[in-house]
Amino acid sequence: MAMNYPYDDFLDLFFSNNKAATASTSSCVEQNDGSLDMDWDVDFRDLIESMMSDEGAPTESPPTIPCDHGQEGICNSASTGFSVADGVDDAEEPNPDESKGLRLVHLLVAAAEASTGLDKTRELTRVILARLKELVSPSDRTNMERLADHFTDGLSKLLERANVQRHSSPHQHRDVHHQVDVLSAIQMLQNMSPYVNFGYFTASQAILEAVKYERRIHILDYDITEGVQWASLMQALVCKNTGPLTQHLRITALSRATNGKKSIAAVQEAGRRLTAFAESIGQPFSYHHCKLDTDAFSASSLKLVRGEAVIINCMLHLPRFSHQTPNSLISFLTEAKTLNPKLVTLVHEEVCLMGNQSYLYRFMDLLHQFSAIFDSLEAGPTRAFVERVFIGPWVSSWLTRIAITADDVEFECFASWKGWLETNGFKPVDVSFANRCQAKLLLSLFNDGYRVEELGQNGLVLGWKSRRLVSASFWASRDSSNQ
Amino acid sequence: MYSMSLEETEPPNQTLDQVLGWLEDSMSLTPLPEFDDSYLLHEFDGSQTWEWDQAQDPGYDFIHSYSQDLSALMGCEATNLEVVTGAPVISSDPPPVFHQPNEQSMKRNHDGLIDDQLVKRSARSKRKAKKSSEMSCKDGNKEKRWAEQLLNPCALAITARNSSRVQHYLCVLSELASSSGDANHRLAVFGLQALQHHISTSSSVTSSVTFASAEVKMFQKTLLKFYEVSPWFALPNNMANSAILQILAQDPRDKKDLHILDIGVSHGMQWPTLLEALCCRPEGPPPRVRITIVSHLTADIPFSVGPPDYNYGSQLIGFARSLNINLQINVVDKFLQLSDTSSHETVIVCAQFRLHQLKQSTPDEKSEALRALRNLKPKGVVLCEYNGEYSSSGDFAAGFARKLEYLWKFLDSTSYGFKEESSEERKLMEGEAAKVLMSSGEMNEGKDIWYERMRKAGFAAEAFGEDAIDGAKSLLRKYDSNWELRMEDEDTFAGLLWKGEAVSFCSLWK
Repeated sequence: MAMNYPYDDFLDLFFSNNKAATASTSSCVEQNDGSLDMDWDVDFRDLIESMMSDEGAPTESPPTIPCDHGQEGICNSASTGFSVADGVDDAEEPNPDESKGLRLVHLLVAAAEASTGLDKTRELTRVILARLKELVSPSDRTNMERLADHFTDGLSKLLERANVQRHSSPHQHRDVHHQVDVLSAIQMLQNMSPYVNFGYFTASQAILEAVKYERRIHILDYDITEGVQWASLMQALVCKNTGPLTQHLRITALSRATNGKKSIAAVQEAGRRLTAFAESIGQPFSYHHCKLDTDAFSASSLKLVRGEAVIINCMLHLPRFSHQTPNSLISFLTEAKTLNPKLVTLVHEEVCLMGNQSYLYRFMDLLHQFSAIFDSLEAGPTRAFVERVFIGPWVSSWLTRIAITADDVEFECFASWKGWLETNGFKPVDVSFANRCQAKLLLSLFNDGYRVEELGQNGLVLGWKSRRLVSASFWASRDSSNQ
Repeated sequence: MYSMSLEETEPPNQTLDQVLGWLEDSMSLTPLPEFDDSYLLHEFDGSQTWEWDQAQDPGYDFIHSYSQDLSALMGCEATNLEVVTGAPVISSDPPPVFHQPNEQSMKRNHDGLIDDQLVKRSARSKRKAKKSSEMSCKDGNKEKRWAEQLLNPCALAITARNSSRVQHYLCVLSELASSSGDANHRLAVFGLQALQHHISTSSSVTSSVTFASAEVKMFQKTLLKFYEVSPWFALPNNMANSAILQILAQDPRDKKDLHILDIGVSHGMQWPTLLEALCCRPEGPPPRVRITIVSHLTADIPFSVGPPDYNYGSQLIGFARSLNINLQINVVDKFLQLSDTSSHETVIVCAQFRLHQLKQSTPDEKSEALRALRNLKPKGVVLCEYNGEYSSSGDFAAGFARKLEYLWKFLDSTSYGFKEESSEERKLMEGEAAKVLMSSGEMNEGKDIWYERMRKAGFAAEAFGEDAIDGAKSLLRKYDSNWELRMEDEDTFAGLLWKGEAVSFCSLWK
């Protein structure tokens, strides 16, 4: 196993000392002789607390290990004793949920690390996953347990796949759930969290503002998935256009052959649904399906109408069919820029973004992300369904993605979307006051704990407690005639 | 006049007082009720010729009578005898004169045997020790050894003082460790305890299941069982005994006493078979057999210390008496106080798995010890030690990794032997073996270093004879097929391997 432990910062979070939530980091350092490389970040303690399901409960932790033993085998008698994280030797009983949560996190991280060791640690991976399966199930009481169950499931599938297809490239396979179920789950999710609609509403609001005076709107949708986003946009258009002047909406949805037949069918189905809906509310609408045989998009494959405002819409915040590297989107945007889009909307998950990170770092990032998502969802009778049908596969697809791209050099070189867009002929488009207000309004319908922050001038980010979940940013091509 | 007596070479200490107690117990002439003579008589029955079948290897009798010997030995408990206190030295009437029934027939057979063996030998003379390829099974084995894949990084993290890493590993290990699982799970238990012990000042996590804490009957039962299921000690003991006989056979008409220096860990298990074999020699046993037991030098190496009240001396003496062998047992404490030998004795040293505990630093106790042994002018020295890959790194993590490897081999091989999951015997053996993780010192220096030391001390390697080798191989067949004996260096080196990896070696020196 690699000797570089990139996640010291992360793991430290899980071992936060049992001090009051408001305590500063210095109290921890004082307890040691300062020679340990501990790095307590108070902000993340909130995350751990939220991960441990009991909100606001202080997180128990084991005492620190003695750090004074200089020579082999000799311990400085002045140092404190040590006990294992599950509190076997602790005098006071730690919260059992929290201690179990901690153990689960340790096991998951260990399983992830072992899974990178290929053949040498396959048995270790299997053993850890077996232990995890003993500890968790999809119907467990706490968020952490169920989350751990999804992760265990995802890692197990990867392990199986690795066993079976050791020499062929792992095919990008998503759990088979009926499309109807997935659609239902998304709708339920929309009621449980602002996550889905944050992306859709902010993007749609920005689009509406950008096309205010346009007769014809052409939206090029990079990944339409179910097409849920456009229903509210169409309704907004219809509401706005009460007079004789109506705006014509055209949507071209892309599908890529590499994503398989299911994705093509889904795009067609989305088109049918949207067309029917548009007709039902009286919105002039046409739908085009642009099938890409390879991943390469060419502007010439589009049907363009003179005078239309081109909008590029990239919703990347929900699980998609494909596990794409940024390169796919990059080549798309590069090409799409030639269309002089009035607006480019980019919504993506705030996870595993930075290039040049190890697999383990990304894994821990995923763990944080989904822990926050889990924590943020409203409870309710539909939650189990949503977790099973939607979130479980979401986790699995991410795990596959980071496993595949573990050695992807291109992926590693990618720094940030903002950076790329700015240096490749795009300029930021400010977020309007109205958009910000709408976002805050959306949040008010849900749990306390959500927050909206500005992301520069041209973006908003939705967060849960201290974790950023999803960000939306707006751009236009530099040569655009707008403004 | 022969006397069975216990001679004290040291001022009385607790051990000797106990030994004294055994002796007093064993001095009674009343027959020991649990001892069953009949099977032994059967051996000397006139109707039975001592046939050394062509089909049977010379070592067969060892296998055949091994467990019987041990059982017989166990039966020789002097539990019904009263302890006579106060008298330091006790003598008894001389034992009956050793009678060789069927001496003629046996002799005849022996001659015939010699012819047979010569035939055998000539057929085998072309056979050299197989120089097996340096096929390393290590990589294939390592994947299955997941406990070490957690324990070793943890040790490294401790050395690097990376506390979050350490806590991580300790947590994961706690989750996976199980004393009823397979060898990996058990190794995780022991390794975890050792690591926690290493970083904690409160030593509340030491394993309490060791030889020293065991009850005597349990201890005996455990050793017997262990010898049945694993050749870990059985094989070196077997080769050592064969070597002793081989050395004695060099001067068959020599009527000297035999003095064995027992620096081993067999707790008496080794000797019944030897005594048996001595009886079966055509010339019979030596007039007197002395075994000087060098008691534990330090307590922390595994297998070296038994329960404090374990008295196998009296049992051995009783057993020997039943074979009409004049056996005397001494116990010495200090390793270097071995002056009590005489030129009327054939001195043979059996150093098995104990010398490595002596210190390397100045003074170099190991070399000193070997020189002291040399000064006794022994007719032969049997050296058995663990055979690992040694590196001089003094790093805690590196040393720990080596100890883990040793314990892995023990746990893995033992799990094949003990097919049932949890037995008390298995727990005791494993708990004792696990002491290695907390012991200081280097126990796996490897063959080359030991050979160098022996040569420096003035010893020359000697080859094991065909009988010894065949006997050992025969014995090994009784155990799991993953065990292997490899002879090297023209039969002066006998390596015992488990799944292709070296465990220990036996060597013979003079």
